[in-house]
Amino acid sequence: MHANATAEAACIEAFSKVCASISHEIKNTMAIINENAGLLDDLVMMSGGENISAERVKAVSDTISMQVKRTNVMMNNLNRFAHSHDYETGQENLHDILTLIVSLTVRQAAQKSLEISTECSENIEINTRLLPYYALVYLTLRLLIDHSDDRDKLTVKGELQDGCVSVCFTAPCVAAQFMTDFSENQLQVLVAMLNVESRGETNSLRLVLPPA
Amino acid sequence: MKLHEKEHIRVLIADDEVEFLETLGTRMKLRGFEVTTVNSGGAAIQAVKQDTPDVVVLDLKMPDLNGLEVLAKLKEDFPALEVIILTGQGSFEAGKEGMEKGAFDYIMKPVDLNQLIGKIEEAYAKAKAA
Repeated sequence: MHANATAEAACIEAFSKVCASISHEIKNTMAIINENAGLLDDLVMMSGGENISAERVKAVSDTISMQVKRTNVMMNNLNRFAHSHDYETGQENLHDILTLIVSLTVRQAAQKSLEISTECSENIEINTRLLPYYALVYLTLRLLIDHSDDRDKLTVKGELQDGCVSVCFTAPCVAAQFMTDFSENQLQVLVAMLNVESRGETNSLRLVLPPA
Repeated sequence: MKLHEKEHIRVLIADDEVEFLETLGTRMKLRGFEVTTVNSGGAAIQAVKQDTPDVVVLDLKMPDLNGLEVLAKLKEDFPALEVIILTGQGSFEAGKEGMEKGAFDYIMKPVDLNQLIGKIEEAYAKAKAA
């Protein structure tokens, strides 16, 4: 009971971090749209409604359109994360999961000028409790971002190993101690719930999910 | 052509959202403000050292130094400088910490431009009265 409650808390932590990050991003895109709408008003007021530069109006319209697209991508990502809880267990494509999780950390990576690349074959499927799995991968990546030096290059690699689905995070600047101490981390409650094996190695951390 | 001629207030805006920075800067210039824009915390400190503005409008989340670190550094080197935090971060704690570090005010994005200008003018008046 206690372990389940803690795993639930870890899922809530992941979801609240995703929501905080995306709502912040959406406030930024809304601010850009707001300023550009205001700029159109300014142009009308300055010209008295006549002879407004078509080129200038087009530039503003393009900016607004781009920000709407940016917001839509963020909302799609949040929507996918939220729907991971629709069923207790489910099957999903690993490449899609890793791409989504990395997309959800773009802002945190940008704050530290980090480059995060994903390597994964497109035909690996996993069958597990999806929300805890998303939460585990997301919170692990956020921890590694927090512990990385600026301008570090992180890799998230998904692969099949002896029938198990392995996700390996490589972060060259993260101390080996962090990787080996991961077995003591509070995320271990998710590791245990999902029956994942976590292996900390020098500069890398591997999460291995056994076959369903 | 300008929309309004205000008292000549020099404003530095620091924000990593370049589209926001450029548009807000343009709109404030149309209203008679002298505006400088930078897109990182380090650049904000550098800009203030080179030519101290009357008021700084500062985002919280930026690459290199975050807004609270920039605020602390600016208040250490330029105690009389008035800084307004303008951010999309909704954390009450961040706002509280900003005010404790000496920010003039804390405003959430998106903001009504007239509200922002009102705050800038209040901050300017406070700096001039000091």
